[in-house]
Amino acid sequence: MAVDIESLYRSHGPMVLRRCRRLLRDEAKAVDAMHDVFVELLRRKDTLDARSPAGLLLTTATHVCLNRLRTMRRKPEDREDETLFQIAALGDEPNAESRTLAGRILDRLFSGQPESTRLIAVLHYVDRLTLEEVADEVSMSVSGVRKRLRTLKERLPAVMGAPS
Amino acid sequence: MTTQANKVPDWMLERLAAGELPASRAAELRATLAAQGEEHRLAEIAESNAQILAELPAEQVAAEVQRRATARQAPARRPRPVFAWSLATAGVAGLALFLATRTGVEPKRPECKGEICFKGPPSLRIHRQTKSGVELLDRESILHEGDSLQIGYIASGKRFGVVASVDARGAITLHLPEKSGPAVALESGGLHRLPHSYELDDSPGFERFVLVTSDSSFTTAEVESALKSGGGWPPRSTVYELTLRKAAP
Repeated sequence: MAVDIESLYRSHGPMVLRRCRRLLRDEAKAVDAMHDVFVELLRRKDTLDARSPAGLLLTTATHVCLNRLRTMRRKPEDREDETLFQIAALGDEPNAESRTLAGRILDRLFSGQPESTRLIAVLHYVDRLTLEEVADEVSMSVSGVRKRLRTLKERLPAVMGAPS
Repeated sequence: MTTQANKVPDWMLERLAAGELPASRAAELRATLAAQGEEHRLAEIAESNAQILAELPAEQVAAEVQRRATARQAPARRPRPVFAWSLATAGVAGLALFLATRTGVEPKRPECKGEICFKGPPSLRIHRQTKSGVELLDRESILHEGDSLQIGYIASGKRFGVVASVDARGAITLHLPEKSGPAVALESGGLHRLPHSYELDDSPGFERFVLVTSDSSFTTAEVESALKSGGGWPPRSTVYELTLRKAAP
């Protein structure tokens, strides 16, 4: 389908920018990332569901920002920030499920395959969504989400002891 | 379904504000917000939307998105290298190269100023004034409101040029020439600094500088049009771009 970026930005761009601001905590980088979210959307226009793009845009923004965080050289500002950095860094681990490159993650995302564990971790540990809410967002069962988080938790010192 | 700490997460709030949640879930979240006296969070999203759209206009963002998308597609359009050249093909190519050299088509030589030589296509060098001197900026540099920038160009043999910049709000600044009109005749022989420095305003996000050069005359209007629309540069022109990020005010 054809994507009218200008129209989509008017309806959802501010939401994307707020998401990028929240994760990156840097206005210039957030604006830059926001543009790239729409570039990615343009690239995958054939798989866009025009009826409900908000979830897809928020998810894409999360992936784009996580990949930016991996290369950012700043100290975490607080515990939530620290958690985010650890989740973002998971991609550096050769055995982590989320080791795939950004393109691969987005390929899976847009092809309807299961979401990356990094996204699930961000939704639960950073955005504070319940397991049920996370399961709804990523179209998985609650037990499936719980299983992913259980195996992930030992690699995330910042969330050790948190409920899942 | 309840949320952690009984507070509606921003993620869910955004989904609610976008109007894309199932009716029952939306009603549940609205009831939670009302019970917690937090309905103002939805109003704040509406205010934030208006503010962001005013600061970063849709047409400007769409043009920048299109520009980036086009730039990322560019390498894919390059012809794939052919590894299986036959001896005959290589021979013909060698002969053509010999004839080209003999007829005066010479490889481009670096431009030199004093002992400093610049190779490659036309480009910009942007320096920032600091307390201790000047700093050459690159794509990793972060700009700040009030920064004083000195722009220089290297023509690399091109005859005409325009230097301009556009910020995230879509405001275009002409640096060379400083007023609308025909492209200026570029000076050869290395780096040439523009006569005036440029002070950054409070526009957020980024500042994108372009040097458009050509051997044929063109106008600043063509460059401004391309910057607004994200494409359509003057025919047979070469475009050098440097996008610098800006720190939040």
